[in-house]
Amino acid sequence: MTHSTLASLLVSILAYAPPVALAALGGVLSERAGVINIGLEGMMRFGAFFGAWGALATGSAWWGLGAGAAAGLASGALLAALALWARADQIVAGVAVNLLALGVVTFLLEWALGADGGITGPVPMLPALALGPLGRLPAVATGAMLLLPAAAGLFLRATPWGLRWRAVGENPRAVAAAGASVVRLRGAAVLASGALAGLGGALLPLALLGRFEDRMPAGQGFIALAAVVFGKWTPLGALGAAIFFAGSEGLQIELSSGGAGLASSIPRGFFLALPYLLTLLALAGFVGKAVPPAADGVPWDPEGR
Amino acid sequence: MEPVLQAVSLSRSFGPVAACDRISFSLQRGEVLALVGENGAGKTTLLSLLMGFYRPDGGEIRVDGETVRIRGPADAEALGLGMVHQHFTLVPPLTAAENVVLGREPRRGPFLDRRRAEREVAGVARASGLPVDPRARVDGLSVGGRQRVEILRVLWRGARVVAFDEPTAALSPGEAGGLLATIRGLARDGRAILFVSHKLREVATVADRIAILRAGRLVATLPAAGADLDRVAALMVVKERPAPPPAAPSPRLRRGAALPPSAPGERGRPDGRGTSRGAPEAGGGRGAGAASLPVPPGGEEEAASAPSPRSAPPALTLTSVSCLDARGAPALRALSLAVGRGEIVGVAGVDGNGQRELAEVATGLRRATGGRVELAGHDVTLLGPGALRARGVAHIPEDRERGGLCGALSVAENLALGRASSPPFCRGRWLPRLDRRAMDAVASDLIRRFGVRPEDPDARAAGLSGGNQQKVVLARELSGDPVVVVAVHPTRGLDLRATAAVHDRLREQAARGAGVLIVSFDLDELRAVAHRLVVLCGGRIAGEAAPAATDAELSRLIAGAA
Repeated sequence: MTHSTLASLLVSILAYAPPVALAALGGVLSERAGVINIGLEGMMRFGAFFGAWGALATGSAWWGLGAGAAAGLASGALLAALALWARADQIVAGVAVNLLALGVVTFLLEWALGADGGITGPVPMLPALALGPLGRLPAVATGAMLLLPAAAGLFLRATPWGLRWRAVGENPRAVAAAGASVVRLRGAAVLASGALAGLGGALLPLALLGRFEDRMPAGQGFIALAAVVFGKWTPLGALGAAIFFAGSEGLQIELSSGGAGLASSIPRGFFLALPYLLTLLALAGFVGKAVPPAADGVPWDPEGR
Repeated sequence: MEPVLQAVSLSRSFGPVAACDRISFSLQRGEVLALVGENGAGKTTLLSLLMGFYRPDGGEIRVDGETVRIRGPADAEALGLGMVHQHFTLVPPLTAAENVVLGREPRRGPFLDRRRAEREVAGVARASGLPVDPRARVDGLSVGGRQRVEILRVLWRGARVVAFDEPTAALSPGEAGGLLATIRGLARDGRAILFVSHKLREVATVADRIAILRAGRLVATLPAAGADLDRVAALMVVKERPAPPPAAPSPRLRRGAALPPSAPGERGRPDGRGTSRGAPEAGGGRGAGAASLPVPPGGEEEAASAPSPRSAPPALTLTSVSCLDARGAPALRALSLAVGRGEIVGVAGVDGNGQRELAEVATGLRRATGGRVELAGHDVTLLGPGALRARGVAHIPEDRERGGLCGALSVAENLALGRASSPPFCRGRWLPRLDRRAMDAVASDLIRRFGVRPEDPDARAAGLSGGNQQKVVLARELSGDPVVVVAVHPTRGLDLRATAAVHDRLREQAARGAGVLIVSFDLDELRAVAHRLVVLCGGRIAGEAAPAATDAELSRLIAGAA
């Protein structure tokens, strides 16, 4: 592998990791507060579509980014309403969000944008750095990917809110006994999770592809879910996992485009399955121990014992 | 002096049950008031009313003479009322200091001021004589250490009244002594203490006054100094039926009965432990707690039915068995117990003293960490529930709706549970399938024999009354002629007739030669069916008594005051 292959691999990681990394950060924030967010895939899809639509409608990629985050926030509010207010099963509620996103976005794509063949026309894109032969680096996406997990880590570790946030995912009864509201904390966590997943989704059309396609986000939300586990429920761990997963994807692209002998011997499906395979290993304890927050996925019943 | 806390005619009902019935008391600064009573006497409900977990139906609470309304834990905290919970409300991965300040964190700018939190927690720890490292993670602390963190949390929040709910239940004797000293120290500093406990000896050492609750009422308040603990114990006990039932046959006349030929274990070697009372007494530790009441001779109605081949080993023998509870704390401590063939042994004691774990170890649901379990002389210590079941251990679990039955399945299906993979329920070697007709035939037979209503094998188990559900459990567990029957609260929630039916079934099993171990909180029930009572306290056998023992004698053993 030459220097230029390595450099372009690095660029492709920095370009392709941010959507997964931001959604995974959303997953970490939600699960640390005790709510499993299976709906990351659907929230990314909402974010991607409304991001593209917002950019097309306003002519500004920045407004599109805001619209994507807002759409993710709204889908987070839906999950919060189902899982916290109506106390529905968190997994079922998350799957409902995914299915809703699948249907609603496909419908809106045809009805509102009249997209032909499931693909929109070109959308305005966020500013990027041109790196000559190495391609373009979507600086906004990369910057957000590096800054937000660090900020979230600091928030969880060093602020009073972060302390309660972590406590409510471990033992909500202790938080209630300390006089704080479990539902409010968890609600905030799910909203933040939705906004981050929406933001990550919006980066797909606005920073990477320049258009919205009906197949988006093509399983990246589930990869984000895997990154949460592989990153051991920490913001920086999830970032690392997202970068690792993007790297294996990028490696596969680089290898197959380079036509090297090695690439043809490894089937493409192996790289597609790699994130999930590694996650299974992480859960089984082969790659260090992955311990979820004790109250992760456990509904809060104030009168329960 | 104005009492710091006063309850005036405080009441709270749950449905038709008055958990607290017009309870009045007052508490002075520097005073320790003990609340004692049996399970369900209303102690925990009373604390929950004071701490704002429940709202009272009637009566009022006064703090410093002023009537207050406590709508939640935050209100109680603001009034200076704090509680040390029996089941700690801590966050294990956080540090001691983080747990203490949770919800009222000191800040510096937007950030948690961790250094100040640690300094303040260390200060309170020093002032109250509770050694705690503020930086230690709670999941690395012992049970006693966690409790100290829980106490520090209450003190750091400025509590003037501290309630302790069964604080020594989870502690080792040494830790318990330290805690009692701490409580006296808190009182000396001017705080008022409410102390809930079952252990009268403990109460006598720590309290200034003892308030006795019975069935939701406060029946007496006595000064602790020179209190007659027998009288306190007698006051605690509910007398449901005025005349105690006649004593069951004495075990002295009932050395193990022969097992039917179908049961395993006949080849048991003679080992000199063939009598029902032959097991060693609980070993080691607090030997002073072990006391035996005399077993009077008498009772002959069933004795004739029990031939006694002295050579046969007991149905069930536990030899210095230890185990941990679900939270990993020691539950049984070198407990030894033998249940002879044809003998019914009743296990009395306050909830949480190892009864559940004893039943689980005996049925293979819980692994013993030490000691030996023998079934009819064969070592079964390492066997799981399926293997024990196959060897003739029947289990009537504590909660029939959770552990005994599957409510969504039919009666016939429930009767086949646990043995559905063998004939006659299952046929076909290569493609095993349930034989519905055989299941229905077995079910119809058992329904008739055990008097289950409705007489319908297809009825959903969840639709049956509690008594009939329990009959289904009994029918399944007892129809295989078990060697040992382990029954945990077998009549809980049942009416008189259903209760009598359950007792008859257990006596039948004993008469047939099975060893029966029955756990219950209801002393009258134990007296009615058991040949011999053992009292569990702190995972050991604290004493043994004949069914004819008086309430006061038993209460004394149960309360660990003997």
